Amino acid sequence: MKKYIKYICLFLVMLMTSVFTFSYLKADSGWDSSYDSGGSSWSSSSHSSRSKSSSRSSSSSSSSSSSNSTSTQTSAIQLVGGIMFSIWVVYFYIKYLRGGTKYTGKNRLSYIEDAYIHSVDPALDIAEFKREVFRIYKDVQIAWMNFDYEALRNLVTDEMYNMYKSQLETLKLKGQKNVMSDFSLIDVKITNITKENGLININAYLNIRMKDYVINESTKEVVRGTDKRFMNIAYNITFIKKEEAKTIENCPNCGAHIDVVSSTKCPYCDTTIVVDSNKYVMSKKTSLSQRME
Amino acid sequence: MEEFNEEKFKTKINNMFVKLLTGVMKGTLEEVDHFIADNVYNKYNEYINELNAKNERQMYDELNVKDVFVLNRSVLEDKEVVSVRLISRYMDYVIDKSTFNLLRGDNTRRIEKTYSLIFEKKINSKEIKAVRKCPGCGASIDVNSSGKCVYCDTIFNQEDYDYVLTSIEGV
Repeated sequence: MKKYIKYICLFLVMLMTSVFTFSYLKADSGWDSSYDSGGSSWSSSSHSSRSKSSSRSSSSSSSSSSSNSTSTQTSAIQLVGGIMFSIWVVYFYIKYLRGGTKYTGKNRLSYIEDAYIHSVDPALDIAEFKREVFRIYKDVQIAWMNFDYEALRNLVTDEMYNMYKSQLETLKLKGQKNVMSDFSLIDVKITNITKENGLININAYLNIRMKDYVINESTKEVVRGTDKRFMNIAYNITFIKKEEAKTIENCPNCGAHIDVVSSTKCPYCDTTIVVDSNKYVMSKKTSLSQRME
Repeated sequence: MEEFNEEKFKTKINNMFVKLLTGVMKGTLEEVDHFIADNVYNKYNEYINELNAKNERQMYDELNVKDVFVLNRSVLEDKEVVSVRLISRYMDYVIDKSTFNLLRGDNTRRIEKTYSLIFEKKINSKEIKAVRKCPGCGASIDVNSSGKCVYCDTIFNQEDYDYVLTSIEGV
């Protein structure tokens, strides 16, 4: 039932946004979050692939809506009806959908017991790891903002590093910069931990508050999002490390001493070295919900 | 053969997907040639050639992998086959290469598109070591960045070591 209410509300809000247009556009490292005009930010907080058709149809449904009233009385009735529907839609939006994908339906994320976590990774200091989640997240965002590839390399898997590098190259080509600031942690929970073939994966729920917008690097003009308001964003972040604590200390090519987390370039022979990290690094970041404050 | 880890696999295919579409944007598939099968290469190369003929560039702006699901993994006699559903978001539009004018699509909002992908890996694949070597000259190759050797232009033989993308279809 909630599912149908959601789609009815979505249609009605799309209708309303033909009158009131909100254009909150933002970014986030890896472009995980977004607020596109016309209310398709709803699609970013849902895992449903049907949100594609919702966002595509938003502009056509909103632009094609029109009133067919032919008399003053009919217009008044329609206006009253429209206002009542809008109030009903807003009520359901606040009750069910605003920042609500955390604990509703299929997106429910509940934390797991410490005892279970320790059964998989006995050495894990849970409190310290939670601090580390926020630290790594913040460091990734700052590295993304500053196009600091080397800093990124020590925080994420090699594959995620290369993916981010591709995305940043495109951003640089456009002469833009994604600015993120004023980070504050609201909540962090470990939601899952698994061990598979020598690698330990931890899923963490992270809720933060920050400013996030894109500027033109030359003019410093804000081109997407806003620097005036905060975003409240919830993520599901995956961290991965190998079970074995041992790592390589010397370059397999030239033998020089190296410090490698998940990937590095040997400072002597320039060889790229990729290993499974023995410290938790980020392998995936997914936006669960977001709202402007 | 290296043992399967789903999260490690997902981070790998996220990178492959973003690099593939970035390659289309750049107008060259040389950085992704090593991890896509010939049919996938031909399909996207044909599209790039069509665009080049009209002096156009396909843009996948603010490209991101929203989520990825491993639908099925089967181990056959000679290979492992993994089918995946990937949800991506990007601004999909085409611009003129010279004037940068918008020709088609929408450069103000992202669409969400779902893809069905299939990856294959040989059963007798070699262990992929910390340093990947060019099969041509032996120099080290940063395979996750580009499969083309910067010294001798040889393409890394990914199919002997790791997953190769054999099919990609928009759903």
